[in-house]
Amino acid sequence: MPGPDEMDPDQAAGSDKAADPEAADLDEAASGQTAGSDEEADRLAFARRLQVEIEAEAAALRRDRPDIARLEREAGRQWEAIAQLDGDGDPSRRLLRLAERLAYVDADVALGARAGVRQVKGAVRRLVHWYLRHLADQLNGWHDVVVRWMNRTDDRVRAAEEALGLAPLTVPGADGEPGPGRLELADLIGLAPDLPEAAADEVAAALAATGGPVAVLGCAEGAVPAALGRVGVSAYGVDRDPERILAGVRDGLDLRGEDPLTHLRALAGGVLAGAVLIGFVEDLTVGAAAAAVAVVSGAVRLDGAVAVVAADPAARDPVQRDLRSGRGLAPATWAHLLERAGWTATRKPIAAADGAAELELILARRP
Amino acid sequence: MTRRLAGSARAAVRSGPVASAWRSRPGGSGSAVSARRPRVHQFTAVLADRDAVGAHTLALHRLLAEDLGCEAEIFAAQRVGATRRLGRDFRDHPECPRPDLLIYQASVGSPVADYLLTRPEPLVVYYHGVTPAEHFDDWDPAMAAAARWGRVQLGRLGSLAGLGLAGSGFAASELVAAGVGEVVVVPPLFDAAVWAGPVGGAAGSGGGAGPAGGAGPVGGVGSAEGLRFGLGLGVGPVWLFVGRVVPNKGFHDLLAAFAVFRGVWGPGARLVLAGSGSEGSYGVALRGLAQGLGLGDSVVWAGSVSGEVLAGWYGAADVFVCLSDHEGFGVPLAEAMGAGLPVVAFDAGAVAGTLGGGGVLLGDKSPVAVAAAAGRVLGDGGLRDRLVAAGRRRAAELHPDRSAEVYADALRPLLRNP
Repeated sequence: MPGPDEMDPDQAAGSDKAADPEAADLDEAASGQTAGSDEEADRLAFARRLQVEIEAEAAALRRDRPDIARLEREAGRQWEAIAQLDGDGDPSRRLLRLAERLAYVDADVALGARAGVRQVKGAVRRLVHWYLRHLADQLNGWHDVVVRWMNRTDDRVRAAEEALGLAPLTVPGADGEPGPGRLELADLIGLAPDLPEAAADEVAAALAATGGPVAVLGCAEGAVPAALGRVGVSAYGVDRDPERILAGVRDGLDLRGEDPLTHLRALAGGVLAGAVLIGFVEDLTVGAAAAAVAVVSGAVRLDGAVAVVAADPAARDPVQRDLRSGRGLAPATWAHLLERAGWTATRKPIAAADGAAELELILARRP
Repeated sequence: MTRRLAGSARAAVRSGPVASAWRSRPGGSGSAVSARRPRVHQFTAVLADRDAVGAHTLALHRLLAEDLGCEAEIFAAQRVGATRRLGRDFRDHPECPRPDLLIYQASVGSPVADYLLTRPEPLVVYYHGVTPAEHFDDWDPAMAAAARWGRVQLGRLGSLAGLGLAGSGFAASELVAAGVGEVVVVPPLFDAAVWAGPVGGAAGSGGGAGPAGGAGPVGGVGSAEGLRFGLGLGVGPVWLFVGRVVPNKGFHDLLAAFAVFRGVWGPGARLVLAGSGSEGSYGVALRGLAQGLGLGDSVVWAGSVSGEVLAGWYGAADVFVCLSDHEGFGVPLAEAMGAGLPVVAFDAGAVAGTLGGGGVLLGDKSPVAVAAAAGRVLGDGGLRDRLVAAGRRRAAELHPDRSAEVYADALRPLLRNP
């Protein structure tokens, strides 16, 4: 073991000074130290001697104290295990550290440069799209219900005003002029006429065996409930247009001003012997039509029957095709939907009103 | 004392007047003449109390405003703690009256530096040192990214800065490499009140007053023994280290060395670690290591402490042990020397330059070597006296009052004729 004075000065130099002598020069110049002075030479010699003595003490400790040498090795081993991700430390801690390292997004590195980011982004985009679509559907459904309720309230208020001979209350526009009234499709294309009596009798005959009660959904002025009554079947009608049912109500028919689908949903399961879907079905969207089949299937008992009266949308004239709110379903499609819901459907043409499109009666019973 | 470096030290670090090397940036206002006071805006990534960069920024602010008669303001990307009201958000800077000089405190990547790259005014960069990102890769990816960003920004700022200031020759060499034409080495400004300490250096054998003189902040304690009792340290030897709990500070080496020291010199020894950041993954790992080594209550995790409490720790400890792998300057080294505490330190980064012979410098930080060094210092009264005296001499050279003169000399030529 060399003594303090035998130590090579270069060996005593610190690691960074050895690595960067220019930095050491700068430090020396900055501190005003000059290696040429006696004091500085003494200081350096003392530092070198001290360093050598400390290294000798350390070597002696390792040699004479096996427990200390073992403790030194153990400290290094423990830190290696804790510090290395692949070491034998706590697995949960390793996992957390790995997650922390991988989860960090460096603002200076483009996301696309990371492996798998494209797939993750695609999945996130699809999830967001699904969620927004769900929200949009919910909002649209809520909006539809509210607007429908407002329109029906408006209809009833207007009917009450007319019945009492009052002038209708209107909301003025921004310029003080009366605002525009609600735009009714019926004003543009006219109401679909109710079934002629002969056709209503055909529908009633098809459902006569059920005995009732039968709900006629989209009953208009009440031709079908009246026909059912004539063959001794207990029946009532539902129509969303309260004005159309007034005449039938005055004649003693059980007609109710209500949205047909809402009415159906409110019924307990199997309370009807039969149901007739007519008129309003021409304005349903595809989704609403499928929902109507599902709802009516729940409301009609197992030995009951469902009748749908529908025109082929392909036979509509151009004005009807453009201005109707729904695109309508072909009779074959109605039959298909009913069969998918567990019914056996038969079709037959029935007489339509003069000038109206040809109609078909789709009669469904459970096998 | 002049610290502007002589040309013989390095060609890029000149000794001539700073103004002669000044390069006005396009659109700079160096030629404008008016009677108003020079307007100097300092920028920093984070303005925080109990932080070396924050303390330096605030001290330089006082120097600019009070000694150099400037209209001085501080702008930061983040303002933390009690100093929050002393600075402004740098995003408000475009709406401020145009300054005559910008000073950037470079220490880590920050949007502040990107903003300064767009400014036409003359720029001075004070470089505190950016820790190599490799130290953080396994522990703090965000900090690693910030460190790499800081080095990229330093390279961009280097060609724009007319003057560079660095706390050490080690940091100065990085500034020169970044392309800064004129570099002056001057220690950072820090609060020297800890030098006065609660016992005025009585912990050391010299027994004299600290460089700053006067009564200590908690002078009522009266003695090192009283202070140790008050801090619950017992009668065994006390190691102290002060610094943020980050990997480059070598806390894990310190724990290993202290474990060996306890094995040799007895279980009564205590290790006090003062500094913020122990809640991170590195800090959690350190606690696991301390537990695994059976250190238990012998390690005092003091956390972030006020200046008064810090002075108490300096006064109560027996040796300051620093095993950092990177220091841009090492303010706690200067504080420890000034407080009369013998220093044992691993030679890395700017440590050797900061110690300047005022402590024991180690080329090997294996646990047994560090423990042997600390044991030697604690057991050899003559060595201890010599180290304390050398430390005080070096601390006097680093004293903020002396550094302030260098700052004034370096900046004054840039503040003429605003």
